[in-house]
Amino acid sequence: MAVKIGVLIKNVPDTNTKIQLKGDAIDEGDIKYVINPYDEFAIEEAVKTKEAWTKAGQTVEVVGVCLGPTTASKSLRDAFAVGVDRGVHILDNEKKAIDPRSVSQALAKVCQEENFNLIFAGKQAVDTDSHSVATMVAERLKMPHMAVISKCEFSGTESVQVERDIEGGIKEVYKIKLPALLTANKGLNKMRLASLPGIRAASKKEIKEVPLSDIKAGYKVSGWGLPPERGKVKMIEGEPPAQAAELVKRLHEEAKVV
Amino acid sequence: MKIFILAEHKNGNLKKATLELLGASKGADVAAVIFGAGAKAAADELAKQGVQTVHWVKDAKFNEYHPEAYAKTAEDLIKAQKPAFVLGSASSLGKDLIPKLAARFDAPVATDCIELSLEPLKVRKPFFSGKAAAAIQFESAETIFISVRPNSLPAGSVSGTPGKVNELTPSFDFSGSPIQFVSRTQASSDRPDLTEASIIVSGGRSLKTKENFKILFDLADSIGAAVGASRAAVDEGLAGHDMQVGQTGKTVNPSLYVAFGISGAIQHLAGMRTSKVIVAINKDPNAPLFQKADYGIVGDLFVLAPLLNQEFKKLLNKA
Ligand SMILES: Cc1cc2nc3c(=O)[nH]c(=O)nc-3n(C[C@H](O)[C@H](O)[C@H](O)COP(=O)(O)OP(=O)(O)OC[C@H]3O[C@@H](n4cnc5c(N)ncnc54)[C@H](O)[C@@H]3O)c2cc1C
Repeated sequence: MAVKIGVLIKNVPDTNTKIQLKGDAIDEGDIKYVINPYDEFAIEEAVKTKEAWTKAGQTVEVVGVCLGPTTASKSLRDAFAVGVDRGVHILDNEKKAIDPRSVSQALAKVCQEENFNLIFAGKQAVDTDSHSVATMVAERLKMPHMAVISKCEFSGTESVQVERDIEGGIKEVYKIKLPALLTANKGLNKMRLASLPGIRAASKKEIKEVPLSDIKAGYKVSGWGLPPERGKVKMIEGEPPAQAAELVKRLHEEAKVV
Repeated sequence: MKIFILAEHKNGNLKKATLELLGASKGADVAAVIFGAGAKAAADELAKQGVQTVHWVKDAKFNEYHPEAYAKTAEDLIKAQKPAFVLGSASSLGKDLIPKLAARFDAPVATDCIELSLEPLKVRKPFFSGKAAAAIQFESAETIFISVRPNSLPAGSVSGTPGKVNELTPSFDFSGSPIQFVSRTQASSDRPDLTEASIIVSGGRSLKTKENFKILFDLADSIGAAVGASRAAVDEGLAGHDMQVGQTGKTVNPSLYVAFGISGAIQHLAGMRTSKVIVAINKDPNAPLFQKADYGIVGDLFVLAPLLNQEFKKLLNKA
């Protein structure tokens, strides 16, 4: 029987993007979209795992699952170029699913239908920064999960040992029976570059578009703001010993942070 | 109003981030859960700060995080209490457990919030790595789940009336769970965690070698700070992955962030822009970080870091 690996992939603004407001909304004008950086680690791990399992005689398929407007399918194509086999795109052109409760519902429904043996996702998307959706998908699927992992070693298709990064540079090691969902941290791997044959093959791979299921929102955004501008920087002049003394004095007396 | 708090301790001491949640719950009817055999002092402290019922899970099997065991324990307590809000910190624990519980209750959830007041309800959460923030309007629900970024709210207490500690022994079948805790790589150090530190000194590629980072560690230890790094420093092996601040590293929120030889790329700012005071030290007067800093010194970090260490020591010895 074939083994199926799912990867949750989100199309997000490039991290170099400057965010600006247009009226009450985010100005979408100049935003360039890319694969969420943490999802790159998830994609790479899925493809690597497929390679290892295939070598061991399994038939393995890697399926990308993406929710977003029509243009978000570009992330699936980019993932195809590095080895993802096919995609499911939950179409949401009206941006109805914007919070973790609704997005996790829609993704969980597709994952349920696909019946994955293993799911990878990034630990968070760098636009909504919720660090929630993947964990919530696992919970809705009643699948064990482990988040923020920087290492994983499989014992066949039965179980996986992972290292999870927590505060203070500590790593916790867990062993998990599959099926399971794992979310990737930086340090897990680096996504390979697409090869020319990979890019050529990508255009022929299948994307199945599905409508957004009935979802319940958890919240809506009732107003956007940009972070407050800081006052002009105060440059501290002089010779180094005097500069050091002056800075510490200012931090103590003026800024009152030490 | 009823509130349930996911409390945390480090080496037995109640975390400041938890006190920040208590401050936000002032005057409410608050219950909390805290896990681990070593949490007695922290549990007592919660009761002293006015948490009416502190559920202390004393069983040593709960010393290490286990998503299913922790979630089941909290779920049962929440079902019994029926709080309007479940609050946690946006820490390793809260980032995992708050959304997991929200899904279990199919409830609204907003995470890593930087503003929170409960009556009337006002919540703001950063988006796009802090390049914008949004006011959150929840759909009505029996219980709403919220996690708060450490250092965003003032620490406080719930009330002057002390509560009680209830020793709890949840039944959870650890050996039958598909998740088994194996080990942890090291004990918690006494240095503050980056995500909760109130002072951070941080170094970039310009430190050149791993050994050179010692000048930053020395400085940090003099003032009780944590040490961070840019991605360039991490990728070149000068600093550990866990020290990276920024887009693909940690989001930090200290009162003081001192950057040594960090250019100030947009992805680095993503991790530290909410710092209350930012100091940039860079030999290039055109380094972009000077545009985002409160104080700046143009100079050589190798000269300035030891001098600053001396000056801080002088100040702290006086105090
Ligand atoms: C998707 C993505 C994610 C990223 N995520 C992150 C992230 O999480 N965190 C992050 O930091 N970056 C991240 N980056 C990288 C970021 O764009 C920058 O490349 C990085 O922050 C630069 O690090 P740096 O400032 O140490 O190095 P540089 O940009 O090389 O700057 C070195 C600075 O040190 C100064 N200097 C040199 N010698 C001295 C001296 N002796 N004394 C004083 N000053 C000196 C120089 O003038 C210069 O300003 C990311 C990039 C991408 C594309």
